[in-house]
Amino acid sequence: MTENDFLKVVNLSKHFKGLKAVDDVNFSVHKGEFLGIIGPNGAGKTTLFNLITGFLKPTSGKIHFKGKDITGTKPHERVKLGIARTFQVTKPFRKFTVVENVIISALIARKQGKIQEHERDFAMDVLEKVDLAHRKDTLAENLPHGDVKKLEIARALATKPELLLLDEPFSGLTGEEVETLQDVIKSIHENGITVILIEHVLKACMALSERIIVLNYGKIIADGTPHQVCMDRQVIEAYLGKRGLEFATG
Amino acid sequence: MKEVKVSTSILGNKYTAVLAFGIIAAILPLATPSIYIIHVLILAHIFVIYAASWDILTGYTGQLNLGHAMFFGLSAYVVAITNTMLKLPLILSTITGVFSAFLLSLVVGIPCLRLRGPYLAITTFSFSWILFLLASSAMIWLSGGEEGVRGVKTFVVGSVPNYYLSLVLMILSVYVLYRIASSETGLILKAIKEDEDAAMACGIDTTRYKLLAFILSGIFAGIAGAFYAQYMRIVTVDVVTLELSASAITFSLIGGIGTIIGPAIGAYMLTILFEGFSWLADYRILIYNLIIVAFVLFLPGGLMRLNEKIGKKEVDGDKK
Repeated sequence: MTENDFLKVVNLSKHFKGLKAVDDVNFSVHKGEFLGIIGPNGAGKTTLFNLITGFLKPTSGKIHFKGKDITGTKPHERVKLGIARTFQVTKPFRKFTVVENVIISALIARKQGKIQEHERDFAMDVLEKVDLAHRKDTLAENLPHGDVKKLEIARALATKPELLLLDEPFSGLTGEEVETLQDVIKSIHENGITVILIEHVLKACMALSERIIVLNYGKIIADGTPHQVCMDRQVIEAYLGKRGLEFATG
Repeated sequence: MKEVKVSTSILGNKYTAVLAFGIIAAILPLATPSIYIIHVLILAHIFVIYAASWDILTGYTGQLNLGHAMFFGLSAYVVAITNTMLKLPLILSTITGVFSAFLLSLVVGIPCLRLRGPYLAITTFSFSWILFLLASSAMIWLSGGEEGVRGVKTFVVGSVPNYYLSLVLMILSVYVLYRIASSETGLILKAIKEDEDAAMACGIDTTRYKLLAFILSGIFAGIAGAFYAQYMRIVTVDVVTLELSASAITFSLIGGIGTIIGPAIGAYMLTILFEGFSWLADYRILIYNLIIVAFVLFLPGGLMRLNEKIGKKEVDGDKK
């Protein structure tokens, strides 16, 4: 397995009736990388996530993870292989406490032999990491929005992933909350987890990502360092339109 | 199985409550000369198993089953038919009956794995309706229609022995279901009820666990149906009616959905209420609905929630 085979997306397409939500997308992620995916609304970012995590089946194309073809596998099988995700529209177990939410993932991880310790202890460790331990006994439905975002990440982390897909973790957060969460995500990456981040809060995305892919109408229109991508004419046009481009470039 | 969550107590300490019930239930036949009271209590025991089995699928796993009588009824019919027509020994008939409920849980469960919300409800309802139509008209040559299948053998003769047998069966069934519900498996089932997508994202094989819930639900309802057939010695269309399916929901709503013990208590109380005051039976559907409306409005969590509230007040009182 070469470094580039960690996650490899080959000719991936997803069509909904006539709409090409993801259109012949190719890219690779190497182990330990921090990849950002940006693009205007409806560019196909979340669809791409749903394809990588198995929540949607592609119309055509292949997905390889750690050298294995995982295209036909189910979401829970991909979690077992080491792919975890969060949801853009958060989906906490509302009637569960914060720690119970995380215990669910930890329980499965223990059954799969990924962790040895008791699931409650492991869940508490994870909650410490995302700075949510003090809320452990709060019902998820009573959490403020910012903490629900953290809970989503904690639940994904408790599956012991190698690849973590974060779908707009900063959306709806205050400036201060964005900064705290940015630190949390940074430390997750520093602990050796490969991260793919979809984000509208471009500032946070630019600060965290080593490389950025820009999607527009289901196609990759740019792939490079944050700096390269910002300067790309096609990217500016996608976000601001042709006139915006003229305005931006003078 | 390891307990990961301790359920709420029944009127203070749950062990005292269970013990008290056990003692009262054990000496009750000695205290009453009335065979009729014993008969009502035997029915209550059967419907406790029936309600608790509905709860594991719908209360815990969130898979809305509107046709639970199909498991109970199929098992009862299979026991009666194999015992009287095929002359199978009762023990083999019973096994066949429960096994048929298990098979039905697969037949209904597997297509239902892909369905959510109203589609699932419609599918379970339709299956039970088909069974009702078969029993009441299309296959009347087999089911006997209103006349029913008569002459089923019994394991034990007489009310009191049947009382004890049903009591043991009820305690065992509720215990097993309760232990499963309060184990890791129960927590996973509850996670599926809360949010299926999130459960998948946590690594749960939701298909497998939903099917498990269907199977458990079908088997225990089948056990209740099989016991009913041998105790009543006659099986009529009553066992597959819409009313019986609805009663699973009423029992559970009153007792408290998703607690196993709650639906059991609900079934016990309501069965005694309706059988004991048989003149009420004509108004059963009306009363069911009034009770449901009252509970949904004033006590959405059922009796188990009332108990929690009382428990809380006591704790608050202690603080003062």
